[in-house]
Amino acid sequence: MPVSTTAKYSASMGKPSTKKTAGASEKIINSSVVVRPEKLFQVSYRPGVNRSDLPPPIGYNPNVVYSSESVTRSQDTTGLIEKRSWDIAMAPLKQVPMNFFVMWMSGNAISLFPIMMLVMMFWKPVQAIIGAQSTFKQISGKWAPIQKLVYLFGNVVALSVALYKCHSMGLLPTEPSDWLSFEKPLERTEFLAGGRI
Amino acid sequence: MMEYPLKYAQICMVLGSLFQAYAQDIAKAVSISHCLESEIKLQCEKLTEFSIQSLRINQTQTFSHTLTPAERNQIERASNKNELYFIRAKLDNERDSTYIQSFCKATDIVDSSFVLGVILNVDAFGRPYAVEVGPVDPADRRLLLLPEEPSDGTLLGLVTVLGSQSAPTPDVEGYRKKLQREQAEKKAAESSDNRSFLSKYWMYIVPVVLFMLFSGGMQGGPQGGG
Amino acid sequence: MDSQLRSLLNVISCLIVLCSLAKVIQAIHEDQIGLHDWSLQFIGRPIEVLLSASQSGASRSLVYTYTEQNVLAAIDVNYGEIAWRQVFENNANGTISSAVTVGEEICVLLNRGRSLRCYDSLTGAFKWEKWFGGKSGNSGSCVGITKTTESPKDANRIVCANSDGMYAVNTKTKNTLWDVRSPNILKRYAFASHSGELVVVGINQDKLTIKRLSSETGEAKENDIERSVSIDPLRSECRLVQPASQVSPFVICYNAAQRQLLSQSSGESSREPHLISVHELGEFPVEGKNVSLQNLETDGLFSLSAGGVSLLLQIHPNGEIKLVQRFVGSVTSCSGTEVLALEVANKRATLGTAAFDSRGFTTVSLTSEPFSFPSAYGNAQRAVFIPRKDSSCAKPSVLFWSDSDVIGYFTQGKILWQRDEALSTIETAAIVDLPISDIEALVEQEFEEKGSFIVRFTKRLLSQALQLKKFAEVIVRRLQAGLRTGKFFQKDQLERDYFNTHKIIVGITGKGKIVGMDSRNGNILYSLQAENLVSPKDRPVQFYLQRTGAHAPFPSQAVIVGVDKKTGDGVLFFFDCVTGEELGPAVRMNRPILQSGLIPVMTNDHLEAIFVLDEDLNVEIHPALDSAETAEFLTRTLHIFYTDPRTGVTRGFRVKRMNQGWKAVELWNSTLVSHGESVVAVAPKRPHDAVHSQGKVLADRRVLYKYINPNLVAVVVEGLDDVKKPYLKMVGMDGITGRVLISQTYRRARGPCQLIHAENWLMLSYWNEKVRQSEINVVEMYRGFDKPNKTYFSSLESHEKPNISTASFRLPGFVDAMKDSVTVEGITYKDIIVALSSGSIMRIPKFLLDPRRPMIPTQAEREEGLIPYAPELPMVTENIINYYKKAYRIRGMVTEVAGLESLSLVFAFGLDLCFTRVTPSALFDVLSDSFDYWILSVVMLVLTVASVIVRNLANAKALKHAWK
Repeated sequence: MPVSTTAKYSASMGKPSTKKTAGASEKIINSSVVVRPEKLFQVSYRPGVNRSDLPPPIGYNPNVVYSSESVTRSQDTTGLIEKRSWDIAMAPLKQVPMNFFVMWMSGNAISLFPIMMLVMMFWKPVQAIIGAQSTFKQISGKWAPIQKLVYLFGNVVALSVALYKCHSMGLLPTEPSDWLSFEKPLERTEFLAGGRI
Repeated sequence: MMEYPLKYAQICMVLGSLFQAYAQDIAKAVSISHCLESEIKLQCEKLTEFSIQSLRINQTQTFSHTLTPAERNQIERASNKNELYFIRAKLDNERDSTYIQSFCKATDIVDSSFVLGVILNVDAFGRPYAVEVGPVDPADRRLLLLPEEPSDGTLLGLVTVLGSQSAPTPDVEGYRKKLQREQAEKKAAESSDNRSFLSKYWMYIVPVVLFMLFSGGMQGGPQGGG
Repeated sequence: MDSQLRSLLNVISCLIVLCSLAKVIQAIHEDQIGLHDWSLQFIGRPIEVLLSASQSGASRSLVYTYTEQNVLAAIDVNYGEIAWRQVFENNANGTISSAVTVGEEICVLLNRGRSLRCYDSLTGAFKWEKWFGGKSGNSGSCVGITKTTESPKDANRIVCANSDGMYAVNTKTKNTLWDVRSPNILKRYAFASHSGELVVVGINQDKLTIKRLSSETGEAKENDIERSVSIDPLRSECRLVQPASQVSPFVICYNAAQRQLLSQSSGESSREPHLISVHELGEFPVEGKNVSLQNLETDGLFSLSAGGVSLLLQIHPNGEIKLVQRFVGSVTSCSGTEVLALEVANKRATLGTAAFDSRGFTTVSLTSEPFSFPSAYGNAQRAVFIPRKDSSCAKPSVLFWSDSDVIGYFTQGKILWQRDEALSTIETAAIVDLPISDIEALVEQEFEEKGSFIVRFTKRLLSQALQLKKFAEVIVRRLQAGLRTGKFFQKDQLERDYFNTHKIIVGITGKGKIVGMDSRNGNILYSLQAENLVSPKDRPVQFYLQRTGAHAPFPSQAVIVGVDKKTGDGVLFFFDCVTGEELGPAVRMNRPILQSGLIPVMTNDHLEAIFVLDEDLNVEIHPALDSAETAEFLTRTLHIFYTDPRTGVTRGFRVKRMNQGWKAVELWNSTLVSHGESVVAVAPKRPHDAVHSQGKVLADRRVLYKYINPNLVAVVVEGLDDVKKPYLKMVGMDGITGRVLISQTYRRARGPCQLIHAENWLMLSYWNEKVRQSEINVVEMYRGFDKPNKTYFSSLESHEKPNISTASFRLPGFVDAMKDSVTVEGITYKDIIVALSSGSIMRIPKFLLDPRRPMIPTQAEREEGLIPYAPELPMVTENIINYYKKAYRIRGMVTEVAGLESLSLVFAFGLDLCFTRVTPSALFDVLSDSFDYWILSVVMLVLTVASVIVRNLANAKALKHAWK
């Protein structure tokens, strides 16, 4: 079990999760903070016994492992951060072709599946824009403003794809026929009586 | 008071034509007069007369009538008071009490510079049974038929004759032909659809394949790349 | 959010469109029969009542009658119900001249005396027919002769005499035994004398002929007797009366022209006829119609009756006629020597018998207590003694009918049943709302927007307190009534129900009788006779609702406009259409009325005024309103449209103030009729015609705007063209300016026509002479694709002509009446309700009658939902709204809105009455009957419980997993 936990942490260290699109508020462990796994196994059997008095576990050399990695990581960190930020920023744009394809598949008729797809496609950019603040926290570096703009732009493009889909399904009230039910019957200025045989 | 000699002439003409048509009692002419509101009985003045034979359906004829200043003033006064302008058509073989009449607002006449658009509706026997008067739209092509330009001194009129449409009967022949055609098509379709399976259903297979490729690519790609 | 809503709305509307286009079976289920609809059958006023020839078996309790409405019916006297009836054509071909019961059959002479038809007495099934042929005659008369001997040559036979001759038919073998042709007689009667001889009386304009023939061979036994008398054959009646047993019978005729009774001996050819004026006999209302001459069983006695007065007369062997007694009522025989008299006095009737012997006539002895004969019955026209096991002269069973079309049966001292056949003569009908309950009235008052904020608030509080009090009162009252009668929660007075589907049907007959029926079951709630009011000659009585029941406590007032019976001047009669009380005195004018109608001017108590235009072009307003806004409305806005049905002159008027009154000033005039044409139908729009959408949405999302002219009136004229073939012309004119907007000619077409005018379309049903089928022509008017640039519609200013699209469809059947369904907002599709002469009332959805239906639909047209064109309208049996019940001779239909948008109520009147409801778009705003409340709630409950349990389980499992 310790092995698997270690693996989890090492795997998640320094890399953002790729499972969901950018903007998901998952906790990413900042690579500048090193968690020493020894902390997990700190157990005090006796009060007053210091950690360093206990012998290390079998197969573990406390002096060897992380010092070099921390050095290399601090060099790569900024590059990685930038890369990560770009990834986050470009994620919405990358989704757009996929959205296009999904929209084309779902067809122009008005039935349950296209509506579901449409709603989903609308909701994702909207949610991203609303939660953009928390996403922006993860974007840093010298390109940060541009990346933020790109992120927003990507969401806007996704929204416009959804709007285009709406338009091609005929859901946008752009035609006079959509406002027909608001038209009142014409008032009559003269009154005709009689007219029976 | 100027109307009296006109009225006298009108009566003479009516009597004369009555004499002529005595044997046959078929209307020979229709006379059009205009009237202005005044109490109960309208004072009408004759504008023009057309013979029944000359009335062709969907054709327009013109007339012009010189307006005396008094008449013009009357019409303009009526327009200022928002009153109505009447037009009356009478067949020459009918009594004075039988006429067809319609009206429009006097302001319309003044605004269209004294050009009248008159529509006579005739029945299957060619006899007018309803009349209508209104202003003429400046873009109307019939204005080209007018002999002179509209001016304040003359009343110009365009008389269009409209007939009755013939009601459609149920289109049994067309329906029968359509059914025959559909049957022929169905027979042709049944025998000719023997292309291969792929060529018939390619439009459903291709997107499915693409979709699978894409989703495979999506999942594999991001995982491998990032 | 907006787009989501809109998409959802679009989904719903598409679903509705698709659902209504699909072939949804909208017929009702068998257990729903009678739930929301009812129908009543009638026969009309009897002309003659016959008893069955064999007084045995199941036909014992049946009496047979033929009526003025050309109906032959059998009535079960125990219950007053129609056992069977046969409805013949509505014209002279279906008029029954006479009827005879022979054996197990009843035979009637139809078709102006040319056709003898026999029906089974018990079931009314058609048995056989004999066609006598000949040119179109007048009427005839038949007499049944039973065989006297057992010889094979002798058989039961029927001898009929019509304008062409006399015929004898053997009823068993259906062969003609003999016939004697003798044309050129206008009217003939055949009588069988006591001695077995056949006496045939023929009447011409100036001649009376009596033939005596042998009933076996038809040979004339003696010479004919001919007398010249001036007699009107069409209005005169003749009977054969035997003064005494050995004296040859006399032919007695009532001459309506001279108002005389004529008697001529049929045996002694040398005698001259005896003439006596009816006046000399007694006081008799000779100017009344329906003068009937009846002979009684007793020798020498016969009765002459009209207008509720009967003269019992006796003919002496020397030919003199003397008055025996005068009755106010009717007299009939109950046995060979006794006479039964039904006398009516002071709204009560008594039955009495009198014996007649050689000495004379004894006085009438009463056999029963007086029974009530209300004035609604009118005058007693005839009474017939029904011989039954338990009825004798001392305790008679009498079937009587009155001239107000009421048939009653008196037996064992009381009236057992009565039938009001006046309902079969309804000319105008209307469906009116019930009044709102007191609590609802208070609610309405509560929300009146008058006064300042504080005032309105306190009014609301007060009103709520009052409502609570009234509610408590109602509960207490219903509990008390429930304790008393055992029925709880029964409404004690007529009130609107929640969906406003419970209404009152008001029917007005041509004689001024007003009947109010409950729309739930057809029960008569009230019956009222407007005095001296009849319908004008050329049009029906008009009905206008001046105040609905929404303004309780004011009564729901209505007015009917008719003419005076004697003078022909206009009469206005005001009454409460919920309770049937007369409201205020009737207004009698002194000129005939040309037009009348409702105008949207109200008094303070919500009474809408009506205007009446009389022959002198005076305009009167009832109730007389003198306010400034009324004057403003009358001079500025009101226009009147009038078509003279006789001359075809159509005029439009405006109203001007003149000498304390209002006069109508003619604005326009046109003569739609010439050279032998006649006006057949005139149709304006409904007063509150709700059109929900201003245009049609096409597939490319453009809007095709409808041309809705509220002042359009359609006039249909019938005539003969230059090749003497019939044609129809429909002219649609704007009623205010007289401009002709539609003018269509239908060649080779003739009436009877039905015209519907609603929204932006017109529908005309007519008979196409060329293909001999009924057709319906639809005319729809559109404005185009441009939005109207004004918010108001003014006929004076608008010079545009609509674009007209029109199409015709064939209908399998003959249309008696046609009407469109109507709903509150106009959102629901329209159904065209068509009453066919086969007795079915069918509904045709309006989208089948669409002129834009394409022959080959393009993609856009398919998307729009247009059904491909088919020239024939399908006769779908599920669309017959009166399912298996037949309603014959429907004269008219009324459709009315209910509180629900998806519902329209239909009432058809004519010979039969039928009331039902129509849901053109399938009850979309109410949960259907089959909605399973139980299953739904159980499922909801189960799902909720299950989800809670499962959530707990899932949480536990997740926790356990997290601990791993």
